Amino acid sequence: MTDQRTGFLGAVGRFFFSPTDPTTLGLMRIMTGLIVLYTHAAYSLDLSNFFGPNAWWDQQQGNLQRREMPHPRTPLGWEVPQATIRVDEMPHRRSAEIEFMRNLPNDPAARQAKLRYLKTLFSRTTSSEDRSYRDFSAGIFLINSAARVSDDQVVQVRNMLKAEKFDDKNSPVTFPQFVHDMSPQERQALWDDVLAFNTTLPPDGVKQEYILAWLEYYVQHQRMRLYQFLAGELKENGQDMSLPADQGERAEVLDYLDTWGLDTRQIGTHKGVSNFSVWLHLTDPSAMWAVHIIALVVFLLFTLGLYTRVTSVLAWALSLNYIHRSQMILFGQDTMQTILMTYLVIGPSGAALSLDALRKRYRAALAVMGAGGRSVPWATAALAGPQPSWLANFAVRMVQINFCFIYFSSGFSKLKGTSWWEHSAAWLVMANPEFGLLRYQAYEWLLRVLVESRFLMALIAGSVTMFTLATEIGLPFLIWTRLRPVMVIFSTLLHFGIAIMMGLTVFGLYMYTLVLCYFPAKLIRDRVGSAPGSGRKMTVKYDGRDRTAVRKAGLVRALDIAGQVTFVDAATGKEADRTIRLTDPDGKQVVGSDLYRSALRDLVLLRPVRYVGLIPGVWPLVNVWFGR
Amino acid sequence: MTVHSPPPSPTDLEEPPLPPERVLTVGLIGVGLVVSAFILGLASGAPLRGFDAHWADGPRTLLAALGLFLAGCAVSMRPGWYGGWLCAAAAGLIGYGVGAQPPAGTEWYLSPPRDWYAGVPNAWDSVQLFFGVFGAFALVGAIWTRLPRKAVYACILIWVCYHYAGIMSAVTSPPPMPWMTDQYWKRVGSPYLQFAYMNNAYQFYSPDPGPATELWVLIEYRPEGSADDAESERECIWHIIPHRSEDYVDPLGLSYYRRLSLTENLAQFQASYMSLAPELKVVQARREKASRESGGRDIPRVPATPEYERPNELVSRQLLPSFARHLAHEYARPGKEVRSVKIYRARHQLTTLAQFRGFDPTTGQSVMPVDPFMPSLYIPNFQGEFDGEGQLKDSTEPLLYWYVPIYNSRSNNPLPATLEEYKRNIRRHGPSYYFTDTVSRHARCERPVEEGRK
Repeated sequence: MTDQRTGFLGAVGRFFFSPTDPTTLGLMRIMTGLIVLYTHAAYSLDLSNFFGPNAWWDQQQGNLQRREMPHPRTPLGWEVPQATIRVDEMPHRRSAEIEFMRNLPNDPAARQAKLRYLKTLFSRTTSSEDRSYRDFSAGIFLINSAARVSDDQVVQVRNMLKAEKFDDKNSPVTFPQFVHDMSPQERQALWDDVLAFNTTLPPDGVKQEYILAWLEYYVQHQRMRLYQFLAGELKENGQDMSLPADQGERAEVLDYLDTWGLDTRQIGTHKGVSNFSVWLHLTDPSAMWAVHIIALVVFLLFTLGLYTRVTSVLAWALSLNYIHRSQMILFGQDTMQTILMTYLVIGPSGAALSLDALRKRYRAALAVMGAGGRSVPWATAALAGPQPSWLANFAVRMVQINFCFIYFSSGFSKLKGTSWWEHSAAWLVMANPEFGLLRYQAYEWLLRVLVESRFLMALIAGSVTMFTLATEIGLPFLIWTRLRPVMVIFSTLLHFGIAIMMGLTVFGLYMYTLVLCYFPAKLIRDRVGSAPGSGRKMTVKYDGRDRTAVRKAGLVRALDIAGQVTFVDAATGKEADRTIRLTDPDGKQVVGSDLYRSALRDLVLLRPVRYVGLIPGVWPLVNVWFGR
Repeated sequence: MTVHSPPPSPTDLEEPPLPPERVLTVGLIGVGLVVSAFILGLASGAPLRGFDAHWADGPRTLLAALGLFLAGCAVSMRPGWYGGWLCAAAAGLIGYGVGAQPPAGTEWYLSPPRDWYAGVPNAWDSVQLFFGVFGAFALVGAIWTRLPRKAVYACILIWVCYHYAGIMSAVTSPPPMPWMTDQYWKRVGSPYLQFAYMNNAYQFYSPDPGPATELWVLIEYRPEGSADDAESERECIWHIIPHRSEDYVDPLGLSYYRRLSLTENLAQFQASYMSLAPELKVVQARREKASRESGGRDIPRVPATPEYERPNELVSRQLLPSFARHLAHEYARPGKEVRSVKIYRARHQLTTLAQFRGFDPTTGQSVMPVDPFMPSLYIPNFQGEFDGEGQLKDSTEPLLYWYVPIYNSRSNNPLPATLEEYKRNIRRHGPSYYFTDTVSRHARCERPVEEGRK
């Protein structure tokens, strides 16, 4: 660790990897844990509404999106990807088009026979001239007409088409101009093709209209591609990309097309979302509640800093389970929660201000007290306080940089909006009925009084807008200078304002937790922890030969984070004595439960919970546990 | 002469780690549990393809989860030793599973035609993914413990660059999105960022703070077994989501704000109407016809920007059906069937400063100050009528995706000069004194009066 100051990583290495006090991370862990606990406890009110099988975003839909959602890649070059097939967006039209494709014959040769008319029509109307367009429309209309003629009329038309010079004035159907230029045999063949194509259309007149409209309005330069797709002739990079002959494959292609509007073969493996969640699979209410309660317990343990290396990872994974299941209910606070959880997993967030730290102190105390005077460097160092850690510094730096990204993006993106330039954004926030305070009559009254003065409102709106922009745009740069305290205060004020004016209190709390990353660890240690040397002095005498005595004295030493107690190994007599004696600040020597009462009263760490001693049964339990 | 002992080295200051045997014991128990889950799957005949549920899924997942947990504990017991990491890697990768390469030409199948053997059931494929990522990460961790410190720092810095490149791509992903961001996101960044939920653009209240959206939902019931069009037995109940008095149930209002976020997701529109021309003509024609209905059933066209807002496919094909199913389930009643769920998305327009003050900038005259909860500030858009299974009943419905106006019409009283008089009359006579609510007309069910909406 010491060689990185002169190592090749230089300034970057020092920035990221210099050891630092993990107390900042410890406080961030506590705050994050409390907020996460609240957030997930609030989910208890809506467990089935948000995470159950019939939730707002139900399991069926969630899994469908997770497994199938397309994210096609665009080419790295200038080529434009061509869809194999395009279908309409409106459900009634799309379903008719999909049904048409589903009912086409499996065998490509049979399909080609049925679709021959389309091939003729598409290939003869490729020009962009008006005549080509008119011919194409007439060709589509011909299909429509042919579907409505009687058997006699079919024969009548065939006879008319036999004439050398074809005239469709008296024909029950109208032909495109290019038919007039065909030979009689070609005309008759075309008429047979039209009738063959009509057999592929559904009997429902409305659906027929949808399919014909689809064909008519299909993009001109892609019509032949459509024919090739339908007829089984479309190949791309050696792969058959036409309507599959195999029923199973056809069903899969058309189902995907119906759901997502894209050809699943063109998407390939670029489908789905990398989400995971037990809530996507759990359906039994009892199992759901069991998992939810386990999650709450894990969050509690994480907050307390117990087995943090495990509970931090579990808490991170469990929180993501909720997030991945319920993307529709998420907003900014969930992003902040994930940022905090991720970096708290990376860093030793349980090394300070945690039960883990107390447990380590206890192990260290046992090691020192049971060493019989030998030096135990690790234990002595542990009892001096949390050890500086390069991983703690790295985690804090990651939070700091991510915080800058947040403000950078939030601030600069606002410059895209006119309301921020004209200073009306602040008003839009103040006057938002769903988020803000307008539901209170007193607030509405106050606003109505303020708006009477246009100058005052402009001053308020302008100040708020400029303050917001200055803080968000300025912080990523100024936070690294001597103006850090100022920017931290500005950030705090900004989020206080958001919490009050928008009601986004939990979001504000997460931002406060994030901004802690800029606080010096020493400041936190002095304000939240206990400064060494504080509190009243005491002395504990114990017999280092007795394991029980060492254990009891070790516990007191572990809890003595302010160094109030002087420990004396006063082994006397032949027999090891398991009793430990505490001389309290008033000079009185106490043992047994009186000892623990004194500790509870006078030790700086335990003072906030000293009222626990008033609970009936606590002292008998302590006596049983630790003995006299 | 005093002999000074040398200062303790950094390793002397670290607490002695737990013995490897203990770590290995915990780790191997974990691996064993995952292997048990694997064997249980084989023995119980759980499906090896597809995502169908099986009775053994629950026990297998529990065993595998417990096993992964214990393997993770092994890592935490001695993080600097590769043994724990290898146990975690084994647990993760066995849970994730193994299978043959799918036959050529079937890679695009949603469920590849090959057998997949895993500790975690195939029906729980998202949990398999987690196991896989965990296992891969643990494998990297095992290698990590063998690297010299400088190599560790270098690897970390590479990850930092990758991580923040991903965050930068998320930040620049809102439109207009740079081509490079698109390529990075789709080719490199998205699996990682989606998995870790680090894909937020952080663009809060930008470009402009916008209005909130409510859902006005009408659930229609009929007695079980009765005909669909039996009007006499029709019962309808309106719900507003979110509703502060019903949904603000926790002290910090999370349940309320979560529902606001839910409704906001519906406000995703097609940038321009992409459908073929014939549909657009028919849409306009249907709307015109609805404005000329007789018998007081007309829904007039009132100028609004925009009048027609078609949602994108995520909303129309996925969100709305899911919402409808949920609503039918949540508001189910014994002895009754849900006949339909009508959904209206109501954007609550924000008042401008001038409107709030009661000033018309175009004429320079004072007008009645606008009440922020005035009914005409709600811009309802009909999102469809769905059955209990989430199927859109009629995609040719004339008002589908159209603005259904609430407005001050000629048949209503003119708005007064003062806000006090307005509020007094609203309290006394109800909103219909000043406003025509065509939502109630369209839904054929009167919307309840919400006084003040405070």
